[in-house]
Amino acid sequence: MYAPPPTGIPEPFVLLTSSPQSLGYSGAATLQGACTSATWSAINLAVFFPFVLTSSRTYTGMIWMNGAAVSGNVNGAVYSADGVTALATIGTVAQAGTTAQQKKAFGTALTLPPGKYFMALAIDNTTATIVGQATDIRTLRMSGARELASFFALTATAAAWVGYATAARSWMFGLYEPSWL
Amino acid sequence: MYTPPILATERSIVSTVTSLAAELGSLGAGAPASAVWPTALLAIFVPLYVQAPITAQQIWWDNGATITGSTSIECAVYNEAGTTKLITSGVVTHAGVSIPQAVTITGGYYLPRGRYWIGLVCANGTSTFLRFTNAAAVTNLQKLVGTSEQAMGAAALPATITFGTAAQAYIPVMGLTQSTLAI
Repeated sequence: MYAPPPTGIPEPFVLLTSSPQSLGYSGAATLQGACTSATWSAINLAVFFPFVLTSSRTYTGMIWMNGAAVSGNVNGAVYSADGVTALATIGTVAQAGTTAQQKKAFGTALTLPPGKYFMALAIDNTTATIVGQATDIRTLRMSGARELASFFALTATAAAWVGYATAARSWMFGLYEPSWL
Repeated sequence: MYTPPILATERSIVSTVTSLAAELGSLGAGAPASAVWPTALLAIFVPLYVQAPITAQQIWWDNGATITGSTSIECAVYNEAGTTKLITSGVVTHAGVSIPQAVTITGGYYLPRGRYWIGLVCANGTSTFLRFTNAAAVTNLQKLVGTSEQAMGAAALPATITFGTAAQAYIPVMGLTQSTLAI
């Protein structure tokens, strides 16, 4: 089947929630605030940020920016656009390293064809901190961010997702390609 | 006469700024500032994203407030795999305080839409360049935007990149221009 050539800025080697392929342009347009450390907003809350790919990409794992305090466990995953299928997960990872990025590889590198997806992050406590950009909840919600309570496991069939509503934060996490990162 | 649709047009200048603007902005990197090159003979490679075909006419980098001695530097662009050096300034003398320094690419160089690496190496750790660095809440900014480093034995960039984890939160301002006009 014919596929038109990809256009637009190519996907970055590290695709963050703030990248143009995710919420980057929304953030720029709505003058989001400073990037600071903040506590996770609810125990076992999972957040889902949309992103798009114009080319097939293979991701080694997920990366996130820890804040000033670490606690408990983090989980991360990539979902299909309808939220039904968990395409890959990093599994439960002890949060480690204050004010430092932390990363975890998928069990098997994840190759995604062009399309729409969600990247998800979940934390099992509210002592843990993540770096995020202050913004307003409605900006995130209108940019397609979603969330689900009590969903730390990030299992499949997350169709019960609701509009983003719990934290005025654009959390800093994403997917990375380079194995040497 | 048929005119194909314009799917995208790249800006007159592509750079580490245009490539990483969204990420650097959201991470609070702020305005770039003059800072000494972190380590003598260290090569720093930064992603360069080109959203539509360009013909590069100049390769450039932005010098900082101090230039020490007759310092050799090189700036170059590589393909996505880092296996081919596509464009180079050649090894030149660091010159011009607090202004961009550019080298003409004779005949221009066509780059299709794609992902590239742009690298810079400096002979010493005392000369300065304009660079982005961490905000207070963020460390290792360079890893969040995917930069790489390679220790060199001379002030010249390699023919192929040996990608290594970047330890320096130092993202130089450098790029390509499609114009022959002075940047």
